[in-house]
Amino acid sequence: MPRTSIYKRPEDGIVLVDQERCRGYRVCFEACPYKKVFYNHVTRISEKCLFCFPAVEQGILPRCMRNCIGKIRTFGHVGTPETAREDNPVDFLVHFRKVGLPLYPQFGTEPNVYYVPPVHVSSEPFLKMMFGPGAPKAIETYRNAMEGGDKELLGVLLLNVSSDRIISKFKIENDQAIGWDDSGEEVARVPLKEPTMVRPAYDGALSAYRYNIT
Amino acid sequence: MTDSDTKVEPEAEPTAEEASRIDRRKVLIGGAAGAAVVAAGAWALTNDTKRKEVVTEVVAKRVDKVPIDDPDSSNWSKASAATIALDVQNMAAPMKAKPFVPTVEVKSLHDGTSIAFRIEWVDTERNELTVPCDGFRDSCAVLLLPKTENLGARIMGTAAEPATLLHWKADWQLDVDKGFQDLEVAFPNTAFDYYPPITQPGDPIERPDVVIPDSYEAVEGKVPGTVWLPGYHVGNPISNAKKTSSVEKLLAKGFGTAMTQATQDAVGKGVWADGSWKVVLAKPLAASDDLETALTPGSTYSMAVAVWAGAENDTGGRKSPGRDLLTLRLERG
Repeated sequence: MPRTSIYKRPEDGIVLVDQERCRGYRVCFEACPYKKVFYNHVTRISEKCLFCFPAVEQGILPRCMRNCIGKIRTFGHVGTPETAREDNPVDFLVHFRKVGLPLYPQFGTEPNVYYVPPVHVSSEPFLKMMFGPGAPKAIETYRNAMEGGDKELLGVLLLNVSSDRIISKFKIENDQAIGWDDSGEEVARVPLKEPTMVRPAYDGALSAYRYNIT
Repeated sequence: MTDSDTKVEPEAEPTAEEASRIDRRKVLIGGAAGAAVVAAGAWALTNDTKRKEVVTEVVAKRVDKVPIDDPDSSNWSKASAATIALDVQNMAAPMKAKPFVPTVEVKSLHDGTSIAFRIEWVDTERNELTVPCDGFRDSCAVLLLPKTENLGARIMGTAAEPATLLHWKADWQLDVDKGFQDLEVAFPNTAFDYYPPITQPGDPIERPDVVIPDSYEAVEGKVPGTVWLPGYHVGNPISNAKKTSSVEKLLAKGFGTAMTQATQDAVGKGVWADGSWKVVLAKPLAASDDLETALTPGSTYSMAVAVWAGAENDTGGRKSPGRDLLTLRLERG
């Protein structure tokens, strides 16, 4: 951008708009294909999501990920194809199972936000336009995991935001997915199949009917 | 531009000068086919300036006192008017393929202590608000560099010889004249409950619970409320709600490097009337910051001018810079 107000932090790849340098030209605001930059009407300069870098610096996931009911986002270091580690959850999703795909790869922006394509969109050309030629295969891989055909992928997805800590290593063991943070501490352990309990509608001890809510 | 900006009726019998002005205003804004007439008026005015000879030297006349904040001061009649040709900006992105106006008129005065420039150009649409996403300001700038024929003037200075810039901004002028233009200027029906708006004493809108963020209650007693306005918090002059000058002094070492200076001693005033901006930009002759271009009476320097048109979304490099290398000569005295 004209004043190079946007910079990428070498330590974690987080992209920020320098609030001291930006002069509110709105050139990046206009150009960003992902609509990431927005204009602050009061300060008259531009801002963007800062990936909760103060949290990330402490190994904690960004707030939108921690607060998400659906736990649909995760965060971690992604390696280049030749340095990717199979036990790194993000590498596993992006480089090994290839269910995490870049948005609009044809723009050549080499984005570092990856998406699992929506499984209920039936238009293949649309999916390919958004996520590239690997979109149909990614959906097939995802569906297979959901149906129990890929324990590792299921485990990685279940580990998503099972802890506030950023998980950098995982392993599937005894039908459990285990996650470790950067310091090697175990921060999450989830069963591949959640135990369920069905209670009778009538509770004889209390002589009361009750509804099963979950 | 609103009707209220332009519909000014004379109250008393006009003088000859006023009459000519009013006539021109009528040409500019009168009639139902306002837009077409405005365009014709602009053409007539630009053609008028075209007839003047384009020059490459600006002479700062010596006067007793420079009118640092009055573009209509009679002192300006003592200065010689230089018609400066503008050009495209095709060296750095974002570019501008056609200059907004072909020429601007530049005058300069100094009084041995301060120097002032007056830039006048035709702009039938007044653009002063940068609050909306698509609001861009009218503005103009003067660049100063040591020596004459300094090619650095083409590229906003170099690392070895940084350029001093005086940048007048129409939105800053509005902030200075009428108080900080906050969110409700662009969005009158907006509602917010916790976002700290910037208000000032005498704010016509009754908002008893909000104050200027400097004294906004800290969140959990740890951080000041200004963190919710990051640009303001880090001291970015663009985000400063309490502006005292409409002119910013900057230093540049090439395209995209302009940085605001520690000592903001540049002043000025811009007035829009009759479809033209008349803007004064002034600063002390002496340098108050490192690497600033200091000026001495009797010497010559390189200078450049540029104009931005909010109507054409001009900003940053999307500007109409001067075509020729200009020389600034300060009269002795």
